[in-house]
Amino acid sequence: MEEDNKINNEVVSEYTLRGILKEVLSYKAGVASLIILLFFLGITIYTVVAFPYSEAIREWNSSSAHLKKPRNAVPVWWGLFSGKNLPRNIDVTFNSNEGNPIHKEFSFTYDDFPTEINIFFKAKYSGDPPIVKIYWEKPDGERMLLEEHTIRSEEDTLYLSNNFSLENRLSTDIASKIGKPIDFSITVPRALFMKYSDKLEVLKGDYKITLDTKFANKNDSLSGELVIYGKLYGIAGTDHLRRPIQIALLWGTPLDLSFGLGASLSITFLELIIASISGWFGGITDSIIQRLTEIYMVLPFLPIMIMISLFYKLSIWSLLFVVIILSIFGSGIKTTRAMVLQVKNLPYIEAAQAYGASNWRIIFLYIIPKILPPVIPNLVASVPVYVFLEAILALFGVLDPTQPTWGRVLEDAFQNGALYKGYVYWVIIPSALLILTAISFSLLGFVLDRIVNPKLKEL
Amino acid sequence: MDEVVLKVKDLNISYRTKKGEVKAVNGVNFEVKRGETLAIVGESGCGKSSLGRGLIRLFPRNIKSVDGEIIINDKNILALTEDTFRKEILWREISMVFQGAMNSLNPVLKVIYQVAEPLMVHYGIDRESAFKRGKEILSLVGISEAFAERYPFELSGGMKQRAVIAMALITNPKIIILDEPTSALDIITQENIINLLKALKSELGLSFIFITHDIALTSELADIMAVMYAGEIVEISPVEEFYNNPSHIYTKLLLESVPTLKEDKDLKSIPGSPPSLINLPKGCRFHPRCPFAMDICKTKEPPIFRVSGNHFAKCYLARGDKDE
Repeated sequence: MEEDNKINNEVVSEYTLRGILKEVLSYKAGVASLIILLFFLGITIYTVVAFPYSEAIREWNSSSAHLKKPRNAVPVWWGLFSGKNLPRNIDVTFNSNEGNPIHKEFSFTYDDFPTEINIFFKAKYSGDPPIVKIYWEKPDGERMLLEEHTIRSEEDTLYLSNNFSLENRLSTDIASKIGKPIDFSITVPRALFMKYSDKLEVLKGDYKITLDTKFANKNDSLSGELVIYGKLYGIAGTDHLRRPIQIALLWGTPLDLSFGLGASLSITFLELIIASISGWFGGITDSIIQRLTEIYMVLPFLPIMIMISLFYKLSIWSLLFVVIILSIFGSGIKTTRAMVLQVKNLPYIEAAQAYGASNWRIIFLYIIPKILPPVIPNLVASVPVYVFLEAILALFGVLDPTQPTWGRVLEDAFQNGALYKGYVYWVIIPSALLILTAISFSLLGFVLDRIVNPKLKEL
Repeated sequence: MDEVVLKVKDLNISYRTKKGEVKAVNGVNFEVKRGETLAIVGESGCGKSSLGRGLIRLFPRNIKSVDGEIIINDKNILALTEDTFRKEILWREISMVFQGAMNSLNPVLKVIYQVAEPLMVHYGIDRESAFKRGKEILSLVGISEAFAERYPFELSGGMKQRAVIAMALITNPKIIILDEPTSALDIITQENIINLLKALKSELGLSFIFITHDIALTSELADIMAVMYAGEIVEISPVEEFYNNPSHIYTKLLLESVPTLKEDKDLKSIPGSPPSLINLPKGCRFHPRCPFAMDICKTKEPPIFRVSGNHFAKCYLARGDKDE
């Protein structure tokens, strides 16, 4: 008895949460998966704290919030690989209070041409609208009149780069200045920033824009912003609607991961409970559950999902519900039931039955804890399955398009032929996030499998 | 001390299998008085465990029929509804220590939880006082409080067995069925457990029904010995009488096959194997293996003869000089 009463604390610590974590960290795969998971956790916390969901949804779905962002810009870090100094956005604000005409100077030292040039006016006038003459002065001193614009409303936008008459005028002008045939087309941004040679080259230096306004009335005023659109934006670039993709990627992390975790947790546990009921009660209950499972297993899951998503506009949460309903009688029931049948005749379960424990007590206190360990790795490893499912359904375009998720970004990229147009970043970043999710959860699943199934350790 | 706590009358238990009906228990009669220990011995598959489980109505799913009476507290427990039996008799009057105590504890629950669980299930006592009572019982069976909060895998085999006994004791039942309580334990631990059971018997006045195949072990604990063969009790007798004057041929052969310390004797084995309970031989069930089988044994089932006092045997050769 003395011997017996010695307490071995080391054995116990292995079975606490800390002990399990320690064991996970003893595998390289475990370390890798935890690093990736921490990365996702960091993104999630940052997003939820710094960027409220309502704001994200509003920005993601607003068409006017992104007018001043470049279209299809690549991520800033992506630009580093291009070997060129790609242009960023240049914003020049002006106000008629500063005097008339307004002179504004800015320097342009990038290696590539801007994509668009727009001027956003805000005017206040009574009677006749103000008329603005816009002059452009290049670093070499050449000065040209771009446009004589009559303000059309209090908030007016002049799309310089879409102005065909200006484009025609500038291109004939430039063609005559170069005097040689050229093998590139001349657009407004090119015309305004190029060297006059037969090679397309940016003229670097200080540019000057002059706005000479004619007011009909003394109290009228004009302010605004000149935006020269670059080719770089943010950490994930922008899409065809000028929306920063990072909104969807940031918020996609918590949405997708909670979708995956929610689906896999609830499906695993519901299956566990149903299978335990089936195995424990046996008889008619067992038959009904097993036949139902077989019917469910025959149903083609993805086509049914697509059909339901087509008929009902599903948000990600109602999708989660549908996925759970369609999966609880899955093949997991068969394997778990087999384990229950093995376990149900164990002496301690018989003993519990003998002293009068109720069926539910036996199921929840005796059977489920016993068969839980081998189920946990499957639970973890099946998280990415549901994350990918969400992405697939989004890619088919059957999910709520207003919710920013990774799958949503991929769908937009696919719809807009991102790969054909060379917007590789648009596909690669969300795909990489999906793959990272799959890798981290699968690795963690493998490691947990090794820990909870000691038989595997011997291999 | 003479109060009869358990009386079994003509108990028959049979199971349904694909090969046919298995008659596991046939016409069993006995009674157990307060503070008395009945040892039931027999070979594997003779129906000992079926009888033990039958006493607490723990039947397998393929049960075919149960006849007879099991009387506890003047009630025939076989006639009670499942619910009343569970609430009034099970564990309050009669409890059980299972075969293979090593596996009778749930590995995911702490020892104290399991020991106290019958209290929570049967009496609805809150966890705290149930645990308190559980710790008392555990110290009664020799497990220190430090181990109460441990998981079963941290306990040795002997301690697990003690914990399972504590679990059977916690509701103060009058009768405890011990189904091979010492199998899978080493001989020293076996001795410890038997000593514990003896102490409990004298301290608490418990009645035990001790089911075992180890006939040598019973001599220490038993007051009455019963020998089972092919689902029947073939001999039942007070313990001294049993060893001094075994009357059934099977009992005699059985005792000859057990080594003893006192005398140097050749061990004998009983040829053949016990009959299948599906296909029982006619007449005396032991006759195919009996070296003294007579013609009557092969055709007519022997009645139960009183050998002397409380000593009964189901064998024509036990008739002796006395009347039936």
